Amino acid sequence: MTEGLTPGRDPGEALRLDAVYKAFVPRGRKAEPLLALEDVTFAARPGEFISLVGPSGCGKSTVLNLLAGLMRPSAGHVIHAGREVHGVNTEIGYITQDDNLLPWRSMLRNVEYGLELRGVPRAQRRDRAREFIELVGLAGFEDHYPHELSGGMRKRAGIVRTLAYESGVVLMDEPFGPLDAQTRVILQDELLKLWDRRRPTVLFVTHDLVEAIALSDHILTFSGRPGRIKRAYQVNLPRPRDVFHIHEQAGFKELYDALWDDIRAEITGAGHAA
Amino acid sequence: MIGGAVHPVTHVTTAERRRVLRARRLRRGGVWVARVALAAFVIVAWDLASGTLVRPFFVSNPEAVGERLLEWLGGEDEFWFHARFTLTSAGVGFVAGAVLGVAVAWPLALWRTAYRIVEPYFLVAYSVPAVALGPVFILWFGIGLTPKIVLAAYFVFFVVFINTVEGIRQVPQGYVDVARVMGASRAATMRSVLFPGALPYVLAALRITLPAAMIGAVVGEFIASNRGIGYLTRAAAGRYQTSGVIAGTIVLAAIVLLLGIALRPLSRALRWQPEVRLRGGGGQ
Ligand SMILES: Nc1ncnc2c1ncn2[C@@H]1O[C@H](COP(=O)(O)OP(=O)(O)O)[C@@H](O)[C@H]1O
Ligand SMILES: [Mg+2]
Repeated sequence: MTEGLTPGRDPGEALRLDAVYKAFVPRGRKAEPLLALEDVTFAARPGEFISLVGPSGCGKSTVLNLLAGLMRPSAGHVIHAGREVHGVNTEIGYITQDDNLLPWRSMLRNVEYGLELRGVPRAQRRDRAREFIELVGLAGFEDHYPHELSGGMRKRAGIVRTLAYESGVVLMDEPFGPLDAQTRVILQDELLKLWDRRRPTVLFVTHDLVEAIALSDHILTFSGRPGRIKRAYQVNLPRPRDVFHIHEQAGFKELYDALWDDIRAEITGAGHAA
Repeated sequence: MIGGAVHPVTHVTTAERRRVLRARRLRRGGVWVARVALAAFVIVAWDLASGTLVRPFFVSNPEAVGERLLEWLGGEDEFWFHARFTLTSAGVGFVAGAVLGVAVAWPLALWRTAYRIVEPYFLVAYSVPAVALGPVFILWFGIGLTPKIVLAAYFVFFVVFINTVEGIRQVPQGYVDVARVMGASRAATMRSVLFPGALPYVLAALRITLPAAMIGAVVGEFIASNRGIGYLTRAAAGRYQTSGVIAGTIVLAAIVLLLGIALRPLSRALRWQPEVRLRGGGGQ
């Protein structure tokens, strides 16, 4: 592993995967188990922003599901804040690939949902939700139901719903995946500003290399199935970052090319059935 | 050439609005006029056919049926006594079947293994024509109110049960996962995710089973009864009084229609639904 990824178990780490394997056993007696993750080891220190990139189906979402405690590893250790994850991990925030806004709640009630579940009194959570809604420019749409919001607005609502309760670790699974290019960049900018308020540890899955560079401190590339960590890259661009002009930064092109070579080898590489 | 607005914007939009509203009003009015005309046409055709194309014995005629209806509705209390009986058995049966359907569905939907154990038996029970159970219920419960309630409840129970299970199961796993990670207990997940998620299915089931409850009650009355609108209709048939049979049928249809309209606010409660399902089931 490269710099930034400390080996060994360290209580100061925000999270760690230690030699994690994950196999899925499909339905049907004859079906072979499918190995999704193989010997995955990495760690994140508090406040780091780490991106996972790799071909689709390589197990990125599985990594997040393991940390969220929605799945157990087949072997190895999944550690959060120095403790092994057992059962659903309510100490983290998880922004899933689908926004999973509850369609019967208004936008405001969706944003305050996490606070509500955590027992924050009504007036307090309402203030807090409004503050975050304001921050991402959703003011005026509080009473709209999710189906009445645009794709970008739904993503914003989903993100602030999780950030509003300020967990120390936030997992994000291709949150900007289905958005158009302009909205994407704007949301990246907003995300960095929100992140900067408290600097939670972020594990961010994306297939967009520019996005990974623009946001992260470290980027981990994954090989195709079974997912293994190929390389870890450090992003040495200064913060605060200007996501709109990130490609003009010194060092951007070299990093982008290196990442792209890595990923291209996985997509076109022989031996991996897609 | 670009720019240079000729009309103020508000002017254009209010004019457009007025136009659209007018067109809508006309269309809606036209539909109603056509509906009334269609009903009038059928009644007139019926009147003309009776006694010329078809013997009045089979179809009676509008005047006779109208007379019978007036006699019933205006009568002191005999008709209303029967109506009350039918409505009571249908209403109590509906509530009992619905409550039972929802109550049984919840634990089974949450506990999959239990559901798989009982599923085949439910399917067998569901595929027995409920009408065939009428005599059994009468054997067990006599010819009073009880067997009609049971029959109505039977008609309602399975539809509500199956739809509630389906409603709980179709709630996306992602909603549940997100709630759990945000700290929801099992009870909170049920209250804040599964229940609202399943609600549209439950309400849809209630809407379509309301007429079913009436059918159950009336079938019970047909089989054995000395009360109810079903009894009234059957008694008229026994006397070969066609106008009474037709009037009874009309009354039953009207009751189902009115109940459907009464339940309509239920579907409005779900403003959040992207595709509000106003079609199908009772009502318009
Ligand atoms: N719950 C599951 N059951 C069975 N197979 C799964 C499950 N979740 C993921 N997989 C499989 O594991 C592999 C990795 O999936 P995933 O983590 O979603 O990949 P990615 O997010 O990188 O696209 C895929 O082949 C997928 O089919
Ligand atoms: Mg994924």
